[in-house]
Amino acid sequence: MAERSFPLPDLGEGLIDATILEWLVEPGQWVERNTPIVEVETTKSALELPSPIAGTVKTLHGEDGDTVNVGDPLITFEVSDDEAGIVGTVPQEQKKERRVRLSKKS
Amino acid sequence: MRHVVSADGTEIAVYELGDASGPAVLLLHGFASSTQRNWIDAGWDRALAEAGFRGIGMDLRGHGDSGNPAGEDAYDVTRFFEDVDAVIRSLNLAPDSWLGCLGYSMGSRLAYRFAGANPDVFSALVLGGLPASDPFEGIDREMAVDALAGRVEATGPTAFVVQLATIFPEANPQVLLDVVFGVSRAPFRPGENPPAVPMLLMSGDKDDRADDTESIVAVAPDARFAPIPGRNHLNAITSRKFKGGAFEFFAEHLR
Repeated sequence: MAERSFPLPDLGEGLIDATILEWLVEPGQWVERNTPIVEVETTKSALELPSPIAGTVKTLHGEDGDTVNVGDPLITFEVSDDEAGIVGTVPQEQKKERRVRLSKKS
Repeated sequence: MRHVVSADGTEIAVYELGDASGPAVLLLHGFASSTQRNWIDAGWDRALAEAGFRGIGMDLRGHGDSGNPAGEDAYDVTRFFEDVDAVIRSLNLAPDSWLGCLGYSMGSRLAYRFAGANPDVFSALVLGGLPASDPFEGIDREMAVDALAGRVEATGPTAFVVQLATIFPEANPQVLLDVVFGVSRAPFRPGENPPAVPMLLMSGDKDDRADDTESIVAVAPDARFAPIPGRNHLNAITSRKFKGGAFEFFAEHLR
């Protein structure tokens, strides 16, 4: 198993942080993509954020009432090794694909 | 999103949310907000789909992607009634179809007044963040205009209106002032012509803008109140308790 972390996304309008109103998932829970994971509040509004992937929740970075900066880790998932290639910024899967394609051509 | 043309020619933006095959619920957002902000961003599209309801969101005139005619005459409550009417007619629902209405804050006031004046349109109402009095009464127009121009610091209820009118970049604060003074020409009085249909009133238990919602139960024939735990006027909209309470109530009154 591998881990995949997601930061608090840019919520626009120059907002630099958001406060966690309520987590809707807990560690160990399997969530489908687009399942609501957390309610957050900014100085302007309240929003519900959906899960960007399907996976098992590993870590919630912050508790209800905590403030999280845009770009800081919000949630970490445990994902199967198949999906681990897309972790972070290293395009491992792409590299592999390219190697495969290259070897096929040669 | 599509547009429906209202009686005075104003275009009203309409959004289809949730489960298209489910019973229909009209969604009326709050002051200075929009269907996107009040409902979609707060997770109601997904929640409606999960609960099996079709949501019809409409941007109120002066808000979101709807037209914003100038001058407070354009924001008389009668104009908003015509907008609701135009949107409902555009749905081409079968004559005996069930139709619910979900409102928040100013949208709740509109739903309450519309349902009182048009008793056969909605089968059930869920009204969030509804104060028992009219929050736009006692707004000082001169102070609001000066505050928008940066000349003074607004105080009291005027400060809240100015804060909301300037909160989102897409909103036009001058138009929103016209909305405030247009709709409050006829101040909201829950005891006057209350809706006769089943009504669930829900406000955050930390909502200091709507801390007297429960008192409306006494003047409406078929109303009940349920608090939204731990929430205030701005952050109650995402609450699972609000969503769950609304869907349970609508399901109960489906017939």
